[in-house]
Amino acid sequence: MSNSREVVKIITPFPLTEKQRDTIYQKLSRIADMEHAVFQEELDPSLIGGVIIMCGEIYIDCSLETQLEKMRERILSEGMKA
Amino acid sequence: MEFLTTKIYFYLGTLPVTKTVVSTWLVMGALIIASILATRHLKFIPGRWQNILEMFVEGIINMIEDMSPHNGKQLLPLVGALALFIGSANLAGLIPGLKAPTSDFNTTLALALVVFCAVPYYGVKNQGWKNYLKVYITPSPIMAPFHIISEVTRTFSLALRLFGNILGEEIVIAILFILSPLIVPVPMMLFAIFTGVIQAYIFTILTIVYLSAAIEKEDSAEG
Amino acid sequence: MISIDRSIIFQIINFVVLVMLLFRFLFKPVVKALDNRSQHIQDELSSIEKAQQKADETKKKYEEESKMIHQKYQEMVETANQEAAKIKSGIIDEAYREGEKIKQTHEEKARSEIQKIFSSLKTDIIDISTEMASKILSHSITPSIQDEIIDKMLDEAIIRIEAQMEVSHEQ
Repeated sequence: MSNSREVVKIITPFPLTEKQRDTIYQKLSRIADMEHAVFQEELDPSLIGGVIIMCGEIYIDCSLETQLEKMRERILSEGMKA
Repeated sequence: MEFLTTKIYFYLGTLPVTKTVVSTWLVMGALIIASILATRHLKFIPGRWQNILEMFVEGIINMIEDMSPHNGKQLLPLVGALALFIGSANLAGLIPGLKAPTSDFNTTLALALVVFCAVPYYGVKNQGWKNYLKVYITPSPIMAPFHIISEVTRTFSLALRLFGNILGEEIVIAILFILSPLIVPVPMMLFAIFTGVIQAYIFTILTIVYLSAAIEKEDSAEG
Repeated sequence: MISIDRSIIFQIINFVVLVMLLFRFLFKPVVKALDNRSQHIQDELSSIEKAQQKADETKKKYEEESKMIHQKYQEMVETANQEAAKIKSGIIDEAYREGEKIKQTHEEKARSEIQKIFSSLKTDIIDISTEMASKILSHSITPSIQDEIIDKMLDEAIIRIEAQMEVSHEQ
């Protein structure tokens, strides 16, 4: 897809285990070229759980925080309608 | 009885001026002077004398109007003069030296003749010739002589009644004087005043009756 | 005794003259005086009657006038009363409307206030519950759950991205 070295930023609440890192590589490789990618890991406990992956123009937010936020917004909007 | 014959003073032309005539003149003069004096100062609000005068005049007017309504003013001169003259003439006999003019048949007949003439005068004046004369042929022309006789005789009866009464009175008083000149004639003289007024009243009222009968309008006449 | 002589002519003349003189000097003035008085009384009476009539008329007029004035007054009072009633009811209506308006505004205000409070309460509740949820989650999360989350959610996300990419490729 791209020949430049891509930086893949992975934000998690806890340090990644080996197994988790493997799973992430495996999954990412389906959409992006992982051979030339440079991994950059960051910790952010506010995510609660899950992971946020930023890879070039791809932004994957699988954090529990975001999920909660989405849920909250949804309840708020639904509740206002009632 | 010298008073039974009328004394003749003098003759005026062919007419004899008798004591009666002179007495009449005196009575007339007295009446007229009294009238002039009485009516000289007639006031709007009457005094005592004026009141008596008015009562007398109104009395005569009422007497006339009792028998012939609305004709009081018209008949007043004749009737009033008759009443006044006869009344005072009767009383004049009581004054010594005077002779009651009414004790002379000439006077009473003269008065009756004036009334006799006044009847047709007022009759014609109020009803006209036709209506007045119609009375004589009512209810039929045959009655005309009787009407005339009645008028003539009532005239004489009027004259004779007054004359007889007054003359009789005078004779009685004269005889009483001859018999007893002091007290006795006085009641008779008082009585004479009464009869004198009564006779004046009778003569007057009969005159009113005759005149009112003549004046009465045909349609309102009785019989 | 009963003798008729020519003096009767004197007597007739005398009496006729007497009648005329008495008429001139006695009856005429007296009758005139009587007539004058009765005329005067008549005049007086008629003038009194006239005055009475006039007074009656005036009285009548005044009565009528006062009646009319009274009527007018009554009418005026009535109109005034009606006007007053109209004004009164107008004022009452206005006051009522005003009151109603005020009430409505206040009700609306109160309602919106309540709504606001309610919604802020709701938001607060939601916020708090979200916070609580996040706290609970953060406490109850384990490495195995993290594994699972990464596995499943990443999978889903990647599938979605793949679908997007295919769509953009087809274009």
